[in-house]
Amino acid sequence: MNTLTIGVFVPGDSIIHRLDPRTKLILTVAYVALVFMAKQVIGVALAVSYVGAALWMSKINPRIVLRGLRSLTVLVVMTAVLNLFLTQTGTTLVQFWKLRITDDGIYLAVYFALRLMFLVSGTTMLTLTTSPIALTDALESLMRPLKRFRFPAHEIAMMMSIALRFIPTLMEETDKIMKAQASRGADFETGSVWKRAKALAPLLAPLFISAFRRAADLALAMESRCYQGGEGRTRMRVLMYGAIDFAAFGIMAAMLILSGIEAILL
Amino acid sequence: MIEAVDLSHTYGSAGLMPTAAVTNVTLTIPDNCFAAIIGSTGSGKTTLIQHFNGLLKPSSGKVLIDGEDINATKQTRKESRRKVGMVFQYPEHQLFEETIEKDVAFGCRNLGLSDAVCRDRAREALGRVGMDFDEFAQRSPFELSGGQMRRVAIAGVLSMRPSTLVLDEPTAGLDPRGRTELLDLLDALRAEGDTIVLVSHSMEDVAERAKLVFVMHDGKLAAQGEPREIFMDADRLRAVGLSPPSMVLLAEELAKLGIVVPRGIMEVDEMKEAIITLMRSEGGTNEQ
Ligand SMILES: Nc1ncnc2c1ncn2[C@@H]1O[C@H](COP(=O)(O)OP(=O)(O)OP(=O)(O)O)[C@@H](O)[C@H]1O
Ligand SMILES: [Mg+2]
Repeated sequence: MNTLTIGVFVPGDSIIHRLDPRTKLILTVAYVALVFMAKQVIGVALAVSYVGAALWMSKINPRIVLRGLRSLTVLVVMTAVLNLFLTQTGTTLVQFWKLRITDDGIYLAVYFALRLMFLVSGTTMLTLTTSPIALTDALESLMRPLKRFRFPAHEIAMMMSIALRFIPTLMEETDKIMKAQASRGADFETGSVWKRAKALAPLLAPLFISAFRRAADLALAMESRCYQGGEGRTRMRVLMYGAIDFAAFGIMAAMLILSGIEAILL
Repeated sequence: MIEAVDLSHTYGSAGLMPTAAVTNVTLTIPDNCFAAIIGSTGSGKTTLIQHFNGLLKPSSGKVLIDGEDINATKQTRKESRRKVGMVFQYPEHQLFEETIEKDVAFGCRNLGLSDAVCRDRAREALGRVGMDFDEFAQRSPFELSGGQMRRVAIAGVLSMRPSTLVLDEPTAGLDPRGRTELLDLLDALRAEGDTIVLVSHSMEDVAERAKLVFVMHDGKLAAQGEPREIFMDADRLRAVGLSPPSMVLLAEELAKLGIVVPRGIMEVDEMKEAIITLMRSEGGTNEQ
Protein backbone atom coordinates (compact mmCIF):
# COMPACT_ATOMS: atom_id res chain seq x y z
CA MET A 1 0.00 0.00 0.00
CA ASN A 2 2.90 2.30 0.72
CA THR A 3 4.24 2.09 -2.82
CA LEU A 4 1.04 3.33 -4.39
CA THR A 5 1.86 6.84 -5.54
CA ILE A 6 -0.33 7.05 -8.61
CA GLY A 7 -3.38 9.00 -7.53
CA VAL A 8 -1.92 10.30 -4.30
CA PHE A 9 -2.34 14.01 -3.62
CA VAL A 10 0.60 15.88 -2.10
CA PRO A 11 -0.68 19.18 -0.67
CA GLY A 12 1.34 22.28 -1.40
CA ASP A 13 1.23 25.94 -2.32
CA SER A 14 3.17 26.04 -5.58
CA ILE A 15 2.12 27.72 -8.82
CA ILE A 16 1.01 24.36 -10.13
CA HIS A 17 -1.08 23.71 -7.06
CA ARG A 18 -2.73 27.09 -7.51
CA LEU A 19 -3.63 26.58 -11.15
CA ASP A 20 -7.35 26.22 -11.70
CA PRO A 21 -8.15 22.48 -11.59
CA ARG A 22 -9.97 22.82 -14.93
CA THR A 23 -6.81 24.20 -16.47
CA LYS A 24 -4.81 21.28 -15.17
CA LEU A 25 -7.38 18.82 -16.45
CA ILE A 26 -7.45 20.36 -19.92
CA LEU A 27 -3.67 20.65 -19.95
CA THR A 28 -3.36 16.99 -19.06
CA VAL A 29 -5.66 15.98 -21.89
CA ALA A 30 -3.64 18.18 -24.25
CA TYR A 31 -0.44 16.64 -22.91
CA VAL A 32 -1.74 13.15 -23.64
CA ALA A 33 -2.46 14.27 -27.21
CA LEU A 34 1.04 15.69 -27.37
CA VAL A 35 2.60 12.42 -26.29
CA PHE A 36 0.58 10.51 -28.87
CA MET A 37 1.60 12.92 -31.61
CA ALA A 38 5.27 12.88 -30.67
CA LYS A 39 7.28 10.87 -33.15
CA GLN A 40 10.60 12.61 -33.26
CA VAL A 41 13.00 14.75 -31.30
CA ILE A 42 10.83 17.84 -30.91
CA GLY A 43 7.84 15.91 -29.59
CA VAL A 44 9.95 14.09 -27.03
CA ALA A 45 11.69 17.31 -26.03
CA LEU A 46 8.32 18.97 -25.49
CA ALA A 47 7.04 16.09 -23.36
CA VAL A 48 10.23 16.12 -21.29
CA SER A 49 9.99 19.84 -20.75
CA TYR A 50 6.30 19.59 -19.79
CA VAL A 51 6.97 16.99 -17.08
CA GLY A 52 10.22 18.63 -16.00
CA ALA A 53 8.71 22.10 -15.72
CA ALA A 54 5.61 20.86 -13.91
CA LEU A 55 7.75 18.87 -11.48
CA TRP A 56 10.13 21.74 -10.84
CA MET A 57 7.42 24.35 -10.35
CA SER A 58 5.29 22.10 -8.15
CA LYS A 59 8.24 21.57 -5.74
CA ILE A 60 7.25 17.92 -5.44
CA ASN A 61 9.96 15.44 -4.54
CA PRO A 62 10.89 13.77 -7.86
CA ARG A 63 11.37 10.52 -5.99
CA ILE A 64 7.60 10.26 -5.63
CA VAL A 65 7.18 10.32 -9.41
CA LEU A 66 10.08 7.93 -9.87
CA ARG A 67 8.53 5.51 -7.42
CA GLY A 68 5.28 5.70 -9.37
CA LEU A 69 7.23 4.81 -12.51
CA ARG A 70 9.01 1.99 -10.75
CA SER A 71 5.72 0.30 -10.01
CA LEU A 72 5.24 0.17 -13.80
CA THR A 73 8.54 -1.56 -14.48
CA VAL A 74 6.98 -4.86 -15.45
CA LEU A 75 4.54 -3.24 -17.85
CA VAL A 76 7.21 -1.08 -19.50
CA VAL A 77 9.65 -3.96 -19.88
CA MET A 78 6.94 -6.21 -21.32
CA THR A 79 5.94 -3.57 -23.84
CA ALA A 80 9.52 -3.05 -24.90
CA VAL A 81 10.34 -6.76 -25.19
CA LEU A 82 7.20 -7.54 -27.19
CA ASN A 83 7.87 -4.72 -29.62
CA LEU A 84 11.49 -5.72 -29.92
CA PHE A 85 10.76 -9.29 -30.96
CA LEU A 86 7.47 -8.95 -32.77
CA THR A 87 8.57 -6.22 -35.15
CA GLN A 88 9.89 -7.97 -38.24
CA THR A 89 10.15 -5.04 -40.64
CA GLY A 90 13.30 -3.04 -41.29
CA THR A 91 16.88 -4.26 -41.59
CA THR A 92 17.94 -7.17 -39.45
CA LEU A 93 20.62 -6.31 -36.94
CA VAL A 94 20.91 -9.51 -34.95
CA GLN A 95 19.51 -12.93 -35.68
CA PHE A 96 19.60 -15.94 -33.46
CA TRP A 97 17.53 -18.98 -34.28
CA LYS A 98 14.18 -17.66 -35.48
CA LEU A 99 14.25 -14.40 -33.57
CA ARG A 100 15.22 -11.33 -35.50
CA ILE A 101 15.96 -7.97 -33.99
CA THR A 102 15.53 -5.19 -36.51
CA ASP A 103 16.23 -1.48 -36.36
CA ASP A 104 12.48 -0.84 -36.54
CA GLY A 105 12.03 -3.16 -33.58
CA ILE A 106 14.51 -1.25 -31.45
CA TYR A 107 12.92 2.02 -32.44
CA LEU A 108 9.43 0.83 -31.54
CA ALA A 109 10.54 -0.76 -28.27
CA VAL A 110 12.13 2.45 -27.07
CA TYR A 111 9.27 4.50 -28.49
CA PHE A 112 6.49 2.61 -26.71
CA ALA A 113 8.39 2.29 -23.44
CA LEU A 114 9.05 6.02 -23.41
CA ARG A 115 5.50 6.83 -24.38
CA LEU A 116 4.13 4.79 -21.51
CA MET A 117 6.48 6.40 -19.00
CA PHE A 118 5.65 9.88 -20.27
CA LEU A 119 1.94 9.22 -20.12
CA VAL A 120 2.12 8.06 -16.54
CA SER A 121 4.51 10.68 -15.21
CA GLY A 122 2.63 13.52 -16.91
CA THR A 123 -0.78 12.43 -15.70
CA THR A 124 0.46 11.78 -12.16
CA MET A 125 1.46 15.44 -12.08
CA LEU A 126 -2.25 16.21 -12.22
CA THR A 127 -3.23 13.97 -9.31
CA LEU A 128 -0.14 14.86 -7.27
CA THR A 129 -0.99 18.56 -7.33
CA THR A 130 -4.79 18.56 -7.39
CA SER A 131 -6.97 17.47 -4.49
CA PRO A 132 -9.65 14.94 -5.40
CA ILE A 133 -12.34 17.45 -4.46
CA ALA A 134 -10.91 20.09 -6.78
CA LEU A 135 -10.66 17.51 -9.52
CA THR A 136 -14.31 16.54 -9.30
CA ASP A 137 -15.32 20.21 -9.12
CA ALA A 138 -13.38 20.72 -12.33
CA LEU A 139 -15.00 17.72 -13.98
CA GLU A 140 -18.46 18.91 -13.05
CA SER A 141 -17.77 22.36 -14.36
CA LEU A 142 -16.33 21.05 -17.64
CA MET A 143 -19.21 18.60 -18.11
CA ARG A 144 -21.86 21.24 -17.45
CA PRO A 145 -22.52 22.01 -21.12
CA LEU A 146 -23.49 18.35 -21.57
CA LYS A 147 -26.44 18.92 -19.26
CA ARG A 148 -28.37 20.15 -22.23
CA PHE A 149 -28.35 16.57 -23.47
CA ARG A 150 -29.70 15.32 -20.13
CA PHE A 151 -26.25 14.24 -19.05
CA PRO A 152 -26.23 14.03 -15.18
CA ALA A 153 -23.04 16.04 -14.72
CA HIS A 154 -23.67 17.02 -11.12
CA GLU A 155 -24.70 13.55 -10.04
CA ILE A 156 -21.68 11.94 -11.62
CA ALA A 157 -19.34 14.46 -10.05
CA MET A 158 -21.02 13.96 -6.67
CA MET A 159 -20.67 10.19 -6.94
CA MET A 160 -17.03 10.55 -7.89
CA SER A 161 -16.26 12.82 -5.00
CA ILE A 162 -18.01 10.49 -2.56
CA ALA A 163 -16.10 7.53 -3.98
CA LEU A 164 -12.81 9.40 -3.72
CA ARG A 165 -13.64 10.54 -0.22
CA PHE A 166 -14.23 6.96 0.92
CA ILE A 167 -11.21 5.30 -0.65
CA PRO A 168 -8.90 6.13 2.28
CA THR A 169 -11.61 5.20 4.77
CA LEU A 170 -12.13 1.83 3.15
CA MET A 171 -8.41 1.22 2.94
CA GLU A 172 -8.09 2.00 6.63
CA GLU A 173 -11.00 -0.27 7.38
CA THR A 174 -9.55 -3.09 5.27
CA ASP A 175 -6.30 -2.76 7.14
CA LYS A 176 -8.05 -2.85 10.49
CA ILE A 177 -10.24 -5.85 9.69
CA MET A 178 -7.31 -7.74 8.19
CA LYS A 179 -5.37 -7.18 11.38
CA ALA A 180 -8.32 -8.17 13.54
CA GLN A 181 -8.85 -11.43 11.65
CA ALA A 182 -5.12 -12.12 11.55
CA SER A 183 -5.17 -11.79 15.33
CA ARG A 184 -7.77 -14.57 15.30
CA GLY A 185 -5.39 -16.73 13.34
CA ALA A 186 -6.70 -16.00 9.84
CA ASP A 187 -4.08 -16.50 7.15
CA PHE A 188 -4.41 -14.40 4.00
CA GLU A 189 -1.05 -15.18 2.51
CA THR A 190 -0.43 -18.89 2.23
CA GLY A 191 -2.25 -21.87 0.82
CA SER A 192 -3.80 -22.78 -2.52
CA VAL A 193 -5.76 -20.29 -4.61
CA TRP A 194 -9.02 -21.85 -3.44
CA LYS A 195 -7.96 -21.66 0.19
CA ARG A 196 -6.89 -18.07 -0.20
CA ALA A 197 -10.14 -17.13 -1.89
CA LYS A 198 -12.04 -18.69 0.97
CA ALA A 199 -9.85 -16.84 3.45
CA LEU A 200 -11.19 -13.59 1.99
CA ALA A 201 -14.69 -14.11 3.39
CA PRO A 202 -13.75 -12.95 6.90
CA LEU A 203 -12.36 -9.82 5.29
CA LEU A 204 -14.95 -9.06 2.63
CA ALA A 205 -18.09 -9.72 4.65
CA PRO A 206 -17.34 -7.14 7.37
CA LEU A 207 -16.08 -4.72 4.73
CA PHE A 208 -19.32 -4.85 2.74
CA ILE A 209 -21.42 -4.56 5.86
CA SER A 210 -19.56 -1.49 6.95
CA ALA A 211 -19.68 0.02 3.44
CA PHE A 212 -23.46 -0.36 3.37
CA ARG A 213 -23.76 1.05 6.87
CA ARG A 214 -21.68 4.04 5.85
CA ALA A 215 -23.71 4.55 2.70
CA ALA A 216 -26.94 4.52 4.68
CA ASP A 217 -25.53 6.94 7.25
CA LEU A 218 -24.26 9.27 4.55
CA ALA A 219 -27.56 9.24 2.68
CA LEU A 220 -29.38 10.09 5.88
CA ALA A 221 -26.93 12.86 6.71
CA MET A 222 -27.27 14.35 3.20
CA GLU A 223 -31.02 14.18 3.29
CA SER A 224 -31.25 15.74 6.72
CA ARG A 225 -29.31 18.67 5.30
CA CYS A 226 -31.82 18.98 2.49
CA TYR A 227 -29.61 17.72 -0.32
CA GLN A 228 -31.71 17.58 -3.49
CA GLY A 229 -29.19 17.22 -6.26
CA GLY A 230 -27.54 19.92 -8.31
CA GLU A 231 -30.54 22.16 -9.08
CA GLY A 232 -30.04 25.65 -7.66
CA ARG A 233 -27.04 24.65 -5.60
CA THR A 234 -24.42 27.31 -4.97
CA ARG A 235 -20.79 26.52 -4.25
CA MET A 236 -18.40 27.48 -1.53
CA ARG A 237 -15.36 27.48 -3.82
CA VAL A 238 -16.15 29.15 -7.11
CA LEU A 239 -13.74 28.20 -9.84
CA MET A 240 -12.21 31.16 -11.67
CA TYR A 241 -9.53 31.33 -14.33
CA GLY A 242 -6.68 33.71 -13.54
CA ALA A 243 -3.65 35.07 -15.36
CA ILE A 244 -1.53 31.97 -14.72
CA ASP A 245 -4.23 29.80 -16.26
CA PHE A 246 -4.24 31.78 -19.47
CA ALA A 247 -0.45 31.71 -19.53
CA ALA A 248 -0.54 27.94 -19.13
CA PHE A 249 -3.11 27.58 -21.91
CA GLY A 250 -0.96 29.77 -24.17
CA ILE A 251 2.17 27.73 -23.59
CA MET A 252 0.29 24.48 -24.14
CA ALA A 253 -1.19 25.78 -27.39
CA ALA A 254 2.27 26.73 -28.60
CA MET A 255 3.58 23.27 -27.71
CA LEU A 256 0.73 21.59 -29.57
CA ILE A 257 1.25 23.73 -32.67
CA LEU A 258 4.97 23.04 -32.61
CA SER A 259 4.54 19.30 -32.42
CA GLY A 260 1.75 19.51 -35.03
CA ILE A 261 4.14 21.21 -37.44
CA GLU A 262 6.73 18.52 -36.78
CA ALA A 263 4.17 15.81 -37.44
CA ILE A 264 3.08 17.41 -40.72
CA LEU A 265 6.60 18.05 -41.97
CA LEU A 266 7.57 14.41 -41.51
CA MET B 1 5.89 -11.52 29.92
CA ILE B 2 5.88 -9.00 27.10
CA GLU B 3 8.89 -6.80 26.57
CA ALA B 4 9.49 -4.02 24.10
CA VAL B 5 13.14 -3.16 23.64
CA ASP B 6 13.98 0.20 22.12
CA LEU B 7 10.97 -0.19 19.87
CA SER B 8 10.33 2.34 17.08
CA HIS B 9 7.78 2.33 14.32
CA THR B 10 7.52 4.68 11.36
CA TYR B 11 4.56 4.64 8.99
CA GLY B 12 5.01 5.51 5.34
CA SER B 13 8.39 5.90 3.74
CA ALA B 14 10.87 8.53 2.63
CA GLY B 15 9.44 11.19 0.36
CA LEU B 16 5.85 10.37 1.21
CA MET B 17 5.29 11.96 4.59
CA PRO B 18 6.79 9.42 7.01
CA THR B 19 5.24 9.52 10.50
CA ALA B 20 7.20 8.33 13.50
CA ALA B 21 4.33 6.84 15.52
CA VAL B 22 6.39 5.12 18.21
CA THR B 23 9.90 6.16 19.18
CA ASN B 24 12.39 4.19 21.30
CA VAL B 25 9.92 2.62 23.68
CA THR B 26 11.28 0.17 26.22
CA LEU B 27 8.84 -1.44 28.60
CA THR B 28 8.08 -4.68 30.39
CA ILE B 29 4.65 -6.07 31.15
CA PRO B 30 5.03 -8.83 33.75
CA ASP B 31 2.92 -11.99 33.70
CA ASN B 32 -0.47 -11.91 35.34
CA CYS B 33 -0.46 -8.13 35.53
CA PHE B 34 -3.32 -5.76 34.79
CA ALA B 35 -1.49 -3.12 32.80
CA ALA B 36 -2.94 -0.03 31.16
CA ILE B 37 -1.63 2.21 28.41
CA ILE B 38 -2.93 5.75 28.36
CA GLY B 39 -2.13 8.77 26.24
CA SER B 40 -3.84 11.48 24.27
CA THR B 41 -5.16 10.76 20.81
CA GLY B 42 -2.41 10.10 18.27
CA SER B 43 0.17 9.35 20.94
CA GLY B 44 0.95 5.93 19.48
CA LYS B 45 -0.95 3.54 21.75
CA THR B 46 -2.58 1.53 18.99
CA THR B 47 0.64 1.36 17.02
CA LEU B 48 2.51 0.16 20.09
CA ILE B 49 0.13 -2.66 21.00
CA GLN B 50 -0.09 -3.93 17.42
CA HIS B 51 3.53 -4.97 17.85
CA PHE B 52 2.65 -7.29 20.73
CA ASN B 53 1.32 -10.00 18.42
CA GLY B 54 3.37 -9.23 15.37
CA LEU B 55 0.70 -7.37 13.38
CA LEU B 56 3.21 -4.60 12.84
CA LYS B 57 6.91 -5.15 12.47
CA PRO B 58 9.17 -2.75 14.34
CA SER B 59 11.12 -0.29 12.20
CA SER B 60 13.83 -0.82 14.79
CA GLY B 61 14.03 -2.54 18.15
CA LYS B 62 12.48 -5.78 19.33
CA VAL B 63 9.44 -7.30 20.92
CA LEU B 64 9.98 -10.27 23.20
CA ILE B 65 7.39 -12.63 24.60
CA ASP B 66 8.74 -14.76 27.43
CA GLY B 67 12.18 -13.73 26.32
CA GLU B 68 11.76 -14.82 22.71
CA ASP B 69 11.90 -12.41 19.78
CA ILE B 70 8.50 -12.72 18.13
CA ASN B 71 9.73 -11.50 14.76
CA ALA B 72 12.49 -14.09 14.54
CA THR B 73 10.61 -16.46 12.21
CA LYS B 74 7.18 -16.93 10.72
CA GLN B 75 6.61 -19.60 13.33
CA THR B 76 7.33 -17.33 16.27
CA ARG B 77 5.03 -14.68 14.85
CA LYS B 78 2.24 -17.21 14.52
CA GLU B 79 2.93 -18.39 18.03
CA SER B 80 2.62 -14.81 19.30
CA ARG B 81 -0.87 -14.58 17.77
CA ARG B 82 -1.87 -17.56 19.83
CA LYS B 83 -0.39 -16.30 23.06
CA VAL B 84 -1.56 -12.72 22.75
CA GLY B 85 -5.23 -12.13 22.00
CA MET B 86 -5.99 -8.74 20.49
CA VAL B 87 -9.34 -7.02 20.84
CA PHE B 88 -9.52 -4.06 18.49
CA GLN B 89 -11.48 -0.88 18.95
CA TYR B 90 -15.07 -1.56 17.90
CA PRO B 91 -14.40 -5.30 17.60
CA GLU B 92 -18.02 -5.84 16.56
CA HIS B 93 -16.95 -4.72 13.07
CA GLN B 94 -14.99 -7.93 12.59
CA LEU B 95 -17.98 -10.29 12.86
CA PHE B 96 -18.73 -12.14 9.63
CA GLU B 97 -20.11 -15.65 10.13
CA GLU B 98 -23.72 -16.75 9.72
CA THR B 99 -24.06 -17.87 13.31
CA ILE B 100 -22.64 -16.64 16.55
CA GLU B 101 -21.20 -20.04 17.35
CA LYS B 102 -19.26 -20.18 14.10
CA ASP B 103 -17.95 -16.68 14.57
CA VAL B 104 -16.76 -17.30 18.10
CA ALA B 105 -15.13 -20.58 17.03
CA PHE B 106 -13.33 -18.98 14.06
CA GLY B 107 -10.10 -18.34 15.96
CA CYS B 108 -10.22 -21.77 17.55
CA ARG B 109 -10.67 -23.48 14.19
CA ASN B 110 -7.73 -21.52 12.81
CA LEU B 111 -5.63 -23.16 15.51
CA GLY B 112 -6.49 -26.47 13.86
CA LEU B 113 -8.60 -27.79 16.71
CA SER B 114 -11.51 -30.16 16.18
CA ASP B 115 -15.12 -29.02 15.84
CA ALA B 116 -16.06 -30.63 19.15
CA VAL B 117 -13.31 -28.82 21.04
CA CYS B 118 -14.17 -25.53 19.34
CA ARG B 119 -17.81 -25.94 20.22
CA ASP B 120 -16.91 -26.40 23.86
CA ARG B 121 -14.64 -23.42 23.75
CA ALA B 122 -17.31 -21.30 22.08
CA ARG B 123 -19.75 -22.28 24.79
CA GLU B 124 -17.25 -21.42 27.48
CA ALA B 125 -16.20 -18.12 25.85
CA LEU B 126 -19.78 -16.98 25.37
CA GLY B 127 -20.48 -17.85 28.99
CA ARG B 128 -17.55 -15.73 30.08
CA VAL B 129 -18.93 -12.65 28.36
CA GLY B 130 -22.32 -13.29 29.91
CA MET B 131 -24.16 -14.67 26.89
CA ASP B 132 -26.15 -17.85 27.04
CA PHE B 133 -24.84 -20.38 24.51
CA ASP B 134 -28.10 -22.25 23.97
CA GLU B 135 -30.02 -19.07 23.39
CA PHE B 136 -27.59 -17.37 21.04
CA ALA B 137 -25.37 -19.99 19.37
CA GLN B 138 -27.47 -20.43 16.23
CA ARG B 139 -28.51 -16.83 15.79
CA SER B 140 -26.91 -14.41 13.36
CA PRO B 141 -24.43 -12.03 14.98
CA PHE B 142 -25.95 -9.19 12.97
CA GLU B 143 -29.27 -9.38 14.80
CA LEU B 144 -27.68 -8.38 18.07
CA SER B 145 -27.47 -5.01 19.76
CA GLY B 146 -24.15 -3.18 19.57
CA GLY B 147 -23.18 -4.13 23.11
CA GLN B 148 -24.01 -7.80 22.53
CA MET B 149 -22.06 -7.80 19.29
CA ARG B 150 -19.05 -6.52 21.14
CA ARG B 151 -19.33 -9.32 23.67
CA VAL B 152 -19.51 -11.90 20.91
CA ALA B 153 -16.44 -10.38 19.28
CA ILE B 154 -14.54 -10.54 22.55
CA ALA B 155 -15.66 -14.14 23.02
CA GLY B 156 -14.22 -14.78 19.54
CA VAL B 157 -10.81 -13.78 20.84
CA LEU B 158 -11.20 -15.67 24.13
CA SER B 159 -11.96 -18.90 22.25
CA MET B 160 -8.29 -19.05 21.29
CA ARG B 161 -7.43 -19.08 25.01
CA PRO B 162 -4.66 -16.50 24.85
CA SER B 163 -2.61 -16.07 28.00
CA THR B 164 -2.44 -12.33 27.40
CA LEU B 165 -5.37 -10.19 26.33
CA VAL B 166 -4.71 -6.80 24.76
CA LEU B 167 -7.72 -4.53 24.37
CA ASP B 168 -7.85 -1.25 22.45
CA GLU B 169 -10.42 1.00 24.10
CA PRO B 170 -12.88 -1.81 24.69
CA THR B 171 -15.32 0.33 26.67
CA ALA B 172 -15.77 3.02 24.01
CA GLY B 173 -19.47 3.46 23.34
CA LEU B 174 -20.69 1.10 26.06
CA ASP B 175 -23.25 2.13 28.67
CA PRO B 176 -22.02 2.37 32.29
CA ARG B 177 -23.29 -1.09 33.13
CA GLY B 178 -21.71 -2.68 30.06
CA ARG B 179 -18.51 -0.93 30.96
CA THR B 180 -18.45 -2.26 34.52
CA GLU B 181 -19.29 -5.76 33.33
CA LEU B 182 -16.47 -5.72 30.82
CA LEU B 183 -13.96 -4.47 33.35
CA ASP B 184 -15.15 -7.12 35.81
CA LEU B 185 -14.56 -9.76 33.15
CA LEU B 186 -11.01 -8.49 32.68
CA ASP B 187 -10.46 -8.61 36.44
CA ALA B 188 -11.76 -12.18 36.56
CA LEU B 189 -9.51 -13.26 33.67
CA ARG B 190 -6.56 -11.75 35.43
CA ALA B 191 -7.46 -13.51 38.67
CA GLU B 192 -7.29 -16.78 36.73
CA GLY B 193 -3.76 -16.06 35.63
CA ASP B 194 -4.11 -14.08 32.41
CA THR B 195 -2.23 -10.90 31.65
CA ILE B 196 -4.36 -7.91 30.67
CA VAL B 197 -3.19 -4.91 28.67
CA LEU B 198 -5.84 -2.22 28.45
CA VAL B 199 -5.61 0.82 26.21
CA SER B 200 -8.05 3.39 27.50
CA HIS B 201 -9.08 7.00 27.33
CA SER B 202 -10.97 6.65 30.56
CA MET B 203 -8.72 7.64 33.44
CA GLU B 204 -11.38 6.37 35.86
CA ASP B 205 -11.31 2.85 34.39
CA VAL B 206 -7.55 2.78 34.57
CA ALA B 207 -7.35 4.28 38.04
CA GLU B 208 -9.83 1.72 39.33
CA ARG B 209 -8.49 -1.44 37.78
CA ALA B 210 -4.92 -1.24 36.57
CA LYS B 211 -1.89 -2.15 38.65
CA LEU B 212 0.68 -0.75 36.24
CA VAL B 213 0.22 2.27 33.98
CA PHE B 214 2.22 3.35 30.95
CA VAL B 215 1.78 6.90 29.68
CA MET B 216 2.43 7.53 26.00
CA HIS B 217 3.05 11.00 24.64
CA ASP B 218 4.08 11.84 21.08
CA GLY B 219 5.18 8.28 20.43
CA LYS B 220 7.40 8.15 23.48
CA LEU B 221 6.92 6.48 26.83
CA ALA B 222 6.44 9.53 29.07
CA ALA B 223 5.98 7.78 32.40
CA GLN B 224 5.23 4.43 33.98
CA GLY B 225 4.30 3.31 37.44
CA GLU B 226 1.45 2.48 39.76
CA PRO B 227 -1.80 4.29 39.04
CA ARG B 228 -1.63 6.32 42.23
CA GLU B 229 1.83 7.63 41.42
CA ILE B 230 0.81 8.45 37.88
CA PHE B 231 -2.52 10.08 38.63
CA MET B 232 -1.42 12.06 41.64
CA ASP B 233 0.79 14.16 39.40
CA ALA B 234 -2.02 16.16 37.84
CA ASP B 235 0.33 18.67 36.23
CA ARG B 236 2.34 16.02 34.44
CA LEU B 237 -0.88 14.44 33.17
CA ARG B 238 -2.01 17.78 31.77
CA ALA B 239 1.40 18.27 30.17
CA VAL B 240 0.86 15.08 28.12
CA GLY B 241 -2.65 16.13 27.14
CA LEU B 242 -4.64 14.01 29.60
CA SER B 243 -7.10 15.12 32.21
CA PRO B 244 -6.66 13.57 35.66
CA PRO B 245 -9.33 11.20 36.99
CA SER B 246 -12.36 12.84 38.61
CA MET B 247 -11.30 12.08 42.19
CA VAL B 248 -7.98 13.84 41.67
CA LEU B 249 -9.82 16.81 40.17
CA LEU B 250 -12.19 16.83 43.14
CA ALA B 251 -9.26 16.79 45.55
CA GLU B 252 -7.79 19.74 43.66
CA GLU B 253 -11.01 21.73 43.86
CA LEU B 254 -11.37 20.95 47.56
CA ALA B 255 -7.80 22.09 48.15
CA LYS B 256 -8.69 25.46 46.58
CA LEU B 257 -11.40 25.80 49.21
CA GLY B 258 -8.88 25.00 51.91
CA ILE B 259 -10.08 21.45 52.48
CA VAL B 260 -7.10 19.17 52.20
CA VAL B 261 -7.88 15.48 51.72
CA PRO B 262 -5.05 12.92 51.67
CA ARG B 263 -3.36 12.65 48.27
CA GLY B 264 -3.80 9.72 45.95
CA ILE B 265 -7.44 8.83 46.51
CA MET B 266 -8.87 7.21 43.39
CA GLU B 267 -12.19 5.71 44.38
CA VAL B 268 -15.46 7.42 45.21
CA ASP B 269 -16.02 5.50 48.44
CA GLU B 270 -12.55 6.19 49.68
CA MET B 271 -13.04 9.89 48.94
CA LYS B 272 -16.36 9.89 50.77
CA GLU B 273 -14.77 8.36 53.86
CA ALA B 274 -11.91 10.83 53.77
CA ILE B 275 -14.28 13.81 53.51
CA ILE B 276 -16.48 12.49 56.29
CA THR B 277 -13.46 11.96 58.52
CA LEU B 278 -12.27 15.45 57.75
CA MET B 279 -15.66 17.01 58.44
CA ARG B 280 -15.93 15.16 61.74
CA SER B 281 -12.57 16.42 62.91
CA GLU B 282 -13.27 19.94 61.61
CA GLY B 283 -16.69 19.90 63.17
CA GLY B 284 -14.95 19.00 66.42
CA THR B 285 -12.59 21.96 66.21
CA ASN B 286 -15.41 24.37 65.35
CA GLU B 287 -17.34 23.46 68.48
CA GLN B 288 -14.48 24.23 70.77
N1 LIG C 1 -1.81 3.26 9.08
C1 LIG C 1 -1.21 4.42 9.35
N2 LIG C 1 -0.52 5.06 8.37
C2 LIG C 1 0.11 6.22 8.63
N3 LIG C 1 0.11 6.84 9.81
C3 LIG C 1 -0.56 6.26 10.83
C4 LIG C 1 -1.26 5.02 10.65
N4 LIG C 1 -1.82 4.67 11.83
C5 LIG C 1 -1.51 5.66 12.70
N5 LIG C 1 -0.74 6.61 12.12
C6 LIG C 1 -0.18 7.81 12.78
O1 LIG C 1 0.62 7.38 13.85
C7 LIG C 1 0.41 8.18 15.00
C8 LIG C 1 -0.01 7.33 16.17
O2 LIG C 1 -1.26 6.74 15.89
P1 LIG C 1 -1.97 5.70 16.85
O3 LIG C 1 -3.17 5.21 16.14
O4 LIG C 1 -0.99 4.70 17.31
O5 LIG C 1 -2.40 6.63 18.07
P2 LIG C 1 -3.35 6.29 19.30
O6 LIG C 1 -2.58 6.67 20.51
O7 LIG C 1 -3.86 4.90 19.20
O8 LIG C 1 -4.54 7.33 19.09
P3 LIG C 1 -6.08 7.18 19.49
O9 LIG C 1 -6.16 7.46 20.94
O10 LIG C 1 -6.72 8.28 18.68
O11 LIG C 1 -6.54 5.82 19.08
C9 LIG C 1 -0.62 9.23 14.59
O12 LIG C 1 0.09 10.41 14.28
C10 LIG C 1 -1.26 8.66 13.37
O13 LIG C 1 -1.63 9.70 12.50
MG1 LIG D 1 -5.85 4.07 18.96
